[in-house]
Amino acid sequence: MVVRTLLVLFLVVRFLRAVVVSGWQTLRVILRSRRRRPTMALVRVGFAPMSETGAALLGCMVSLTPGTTTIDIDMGRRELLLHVLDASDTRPLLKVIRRDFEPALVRLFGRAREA
Amino acid sequence: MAVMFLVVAAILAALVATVRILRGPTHADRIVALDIFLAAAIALAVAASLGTGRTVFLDVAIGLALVGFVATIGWARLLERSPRVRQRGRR
Amino acid sequence: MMGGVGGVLVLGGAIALVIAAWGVLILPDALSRQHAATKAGTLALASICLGVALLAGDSQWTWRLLLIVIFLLTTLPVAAHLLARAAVREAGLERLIEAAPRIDLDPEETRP
Repeated sequence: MVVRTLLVLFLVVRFLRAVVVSGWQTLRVILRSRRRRPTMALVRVGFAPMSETGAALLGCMVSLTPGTTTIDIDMGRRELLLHVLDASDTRPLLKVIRRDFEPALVRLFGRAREA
Repeated sequence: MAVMFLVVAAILAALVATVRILRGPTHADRIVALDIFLAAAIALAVAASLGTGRTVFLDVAIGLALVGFVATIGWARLLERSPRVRQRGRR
Repeated sequence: MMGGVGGVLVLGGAIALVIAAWGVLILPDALSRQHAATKAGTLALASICLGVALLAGDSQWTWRLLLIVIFLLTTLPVAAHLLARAAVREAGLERLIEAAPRIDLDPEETRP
């Protein structure tokens, strides 16, 4: 129980930090877009097995990671469909998603239903 | 000072969003601009309460935040279910 | 001191709001514009609310402003997601989505 509370708090802090960082980066992309058109991209990313609630939460948090928005969640293939605003550095973004949010979510909502 | 600045910024943002609503090639663009309108409205409500020193306007802002969210969802759902209009959305 | 920080937050939020609106105007398509409206707009409002809370320095104001920020932050991802889906559907990008490449990271890349 204590561990779960701590995990939730941890996720909330991460979420708040992600809000600030993503807002800031979006502002920067807007200001730069005069000179350099942002190249957008659509990307699929696999995620670790977790319940539907966990996947929904992951989707919400992904919407807040810098430069990405969830368009769809494919539970069958365990993939998130993302829209990336500035596609020049996609891999670090995905790394942030999987490293920052996924482990805690997996521990909270992990493997409820293995497909 | 801060109040004036907030009001000017909110009105400016609303004006810019109006251009997008008028011009916006797709309905999704207009809904996005509506989001900015909502943000400007909340900023105006906060500025009003800061200017008058009364908290009633903050309650207005709370209501706006809730209603605006429901409105965005409603528009998005409507858009998603409406029959497809081919080739009109493209620029 | 508190008033100074609050003033800076309010001014920064106001500027960010204008930049967000500007982004909605100049970014190239609906999906990108939605980034500007939801993320930058919400950050701007949160900054304004926190700044006013610091300026007022009164619990009557603080909890109301915190309530606004919490509502905005919880509703933001849902609104962003629904808007993105609607935009994709309206622009008829479903085929592009089907063809979207899948990116996988190596296990050691995801280790903290």
